[in-house]
Amino acid sequence: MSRPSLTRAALALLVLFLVPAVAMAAGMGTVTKVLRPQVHTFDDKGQPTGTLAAADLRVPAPIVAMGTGGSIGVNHDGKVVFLRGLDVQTEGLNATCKPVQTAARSSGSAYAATNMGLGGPADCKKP
Amino acid sequence: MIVVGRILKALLVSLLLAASAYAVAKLNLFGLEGESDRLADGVYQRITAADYGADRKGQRQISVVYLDETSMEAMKGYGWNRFPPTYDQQWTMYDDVMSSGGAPPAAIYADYVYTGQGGANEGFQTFLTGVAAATKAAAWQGAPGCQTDPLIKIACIEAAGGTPLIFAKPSPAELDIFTDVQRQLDAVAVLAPALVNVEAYPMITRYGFDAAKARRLGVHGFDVSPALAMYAAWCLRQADACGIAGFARVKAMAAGALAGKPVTSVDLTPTFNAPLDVVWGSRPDPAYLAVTAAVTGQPAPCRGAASGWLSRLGEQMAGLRGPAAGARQECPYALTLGYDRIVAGLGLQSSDLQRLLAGRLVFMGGQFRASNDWVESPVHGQAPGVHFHAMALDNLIEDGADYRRNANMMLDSDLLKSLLIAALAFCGVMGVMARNSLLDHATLTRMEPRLHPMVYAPLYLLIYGASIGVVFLATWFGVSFAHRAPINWIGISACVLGFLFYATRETLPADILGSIEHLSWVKHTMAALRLFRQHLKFEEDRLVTHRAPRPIPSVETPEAAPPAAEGGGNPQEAPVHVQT
Repeated sequence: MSRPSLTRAALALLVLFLVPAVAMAAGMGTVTKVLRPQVHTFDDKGQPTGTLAAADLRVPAPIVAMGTGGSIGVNHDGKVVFLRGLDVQTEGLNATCKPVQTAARSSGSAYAATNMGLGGPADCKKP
Repeated sequence: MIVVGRILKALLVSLLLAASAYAVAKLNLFGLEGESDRLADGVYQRITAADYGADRKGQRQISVVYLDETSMEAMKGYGWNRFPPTYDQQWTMYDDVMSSGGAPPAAIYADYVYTGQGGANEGFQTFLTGVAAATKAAAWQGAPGCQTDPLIKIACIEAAGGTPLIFAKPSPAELDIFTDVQRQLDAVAVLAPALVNVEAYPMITRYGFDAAKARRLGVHGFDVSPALAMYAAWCLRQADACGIAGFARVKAMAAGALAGKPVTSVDLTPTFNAPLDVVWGSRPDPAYLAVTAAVTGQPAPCRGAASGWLSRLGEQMAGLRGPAAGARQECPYALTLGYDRIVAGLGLQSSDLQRLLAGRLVFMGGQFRASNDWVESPVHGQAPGVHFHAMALDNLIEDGADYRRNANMMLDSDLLKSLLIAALAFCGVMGVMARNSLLDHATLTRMEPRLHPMVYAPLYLLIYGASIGVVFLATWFGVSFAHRAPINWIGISACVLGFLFYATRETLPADILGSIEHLSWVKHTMAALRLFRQHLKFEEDRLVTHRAPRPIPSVETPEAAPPAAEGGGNPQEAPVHVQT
């Protein structure tokens, strides 16, 4: 009876951890293109963390997190940086948007502001 | 001679009525006249809103990008953690609007007033440099000719290849202050007075300042309203300058002004000689509906575009009237998107941003619930002020120099209304006189003191129908052909109908009763009514007696005696013959 190799067990464990992470990341969408030569980056709370050259960001990059106001989090140099959606092209991101705008409007309201635009990303909930 | 006397009498009555109406209008007691004017305009606009802008000529050019409380909350994710945002953050916003569509907008109006008096001007130099680059200020700010007036400045910006950026400023007529920040902004962009509490949208404002005061307050010849400035920016890009000779001359002068030649101001007052009566449309931009569906995942929660004037008229006559009520809320007329939505980009494609921004006339403004920059739209209810400017520009693009003028600002509209009332009252009195003559004729020839329904029905229909018809026709004619705000058709109709009801208060019931009195149910009803009147009469006497007892209670006065109803006297014995 041969003992199972430690390396193989470690690899299996790694796969067990990585597959759900990748699957989860793929479910949030992917950044496919950077639209500006240089993009601003933020942390998850929205504090500016500097700029990033487009060439430094490998695309396609899985989106690993959504920050405040709908900023898009991708891995870069071992940490998550948040980008503006305006600066990048994404795929599979808008499917998560569930508006609550209509429900939030009081019935019979003469307050036209509820229709004067589309609200903000705060109106979107993840399913 | 009798006929002439009757006509003169009718004329006198109608003139008296018109004079009373004129006096009431001028007195504007409790503001009723003004409110009545606004109501008439509002109801007219609600009925016809779906018919405005069928060709979507203006809608294809105009976009609105806004900030509100939700936007500010969302923008915290992008470093906007104070209010107002820093100048450099705001420049990032303008830069996004300039560059995200793939091509810059045709012009931008920012409905934000920058005075620089709120504290440290953090990042103002970045802001100013960005604006100067967008407007290509280096090419024109040294040319004195380009500073002649705002229209030539816009022409210079476009001739230099820049994008006109127009910023709001307080009206110099209301605020005798021109701050350093405003002066620096004026050197690289165009300033237009923001409108506060205006009833009609102004076009060109001349303040009559002397040269020193005009210089101190940054007035270059005259001021133009935001919508006119944007319209000029758009027309100056058109080959035919929108067919407006003044714009064509301004356009032709721009190259010379850029080259340093002196230019004289072009007087556009004859073309834009009256304030605009803003017409609000209700059919939303298809692009707005598409973008809303893309961003929110469901159709825009607003009224459908297909309801025409007939259904809207029915709605105004019913109990469900009023602007922006519940599920019947109107969508904004222009393509509208929150800036935070642009930044987050959720659901948006490049083509959406292109449609929103590239080559468009973009209005940027706030729609904060806590601010007072809201206007009363007859169609939308409360609408953000920036939509007022956008709608005014839409009117100009749709109608050009034939825009709907505010009649109240041009002529004595009260006089016009009174004359209309006089004419209608005259016709009404003549109609009643004709009825009396016909009754006289019937009495003489047929010995019958009543008119046949075939005679009086068309007559009354003509009197009432023609009066209402003339008011509606005058309203429609004034709006469609004279391009004026609708007259107070509700007030005039009420006045004329009230007068006609008064004038026919006895003849109309008498004529109708005279022709149906032989019916049994009418006889029963009449008997019941007589009893009822008798009862009322008794109660009246009792009340009067209580208050002022008669000196000799035993004496039966004719009033206290039972009326002749029980005797069954013929109520039509003598013909009812009333002359007003």
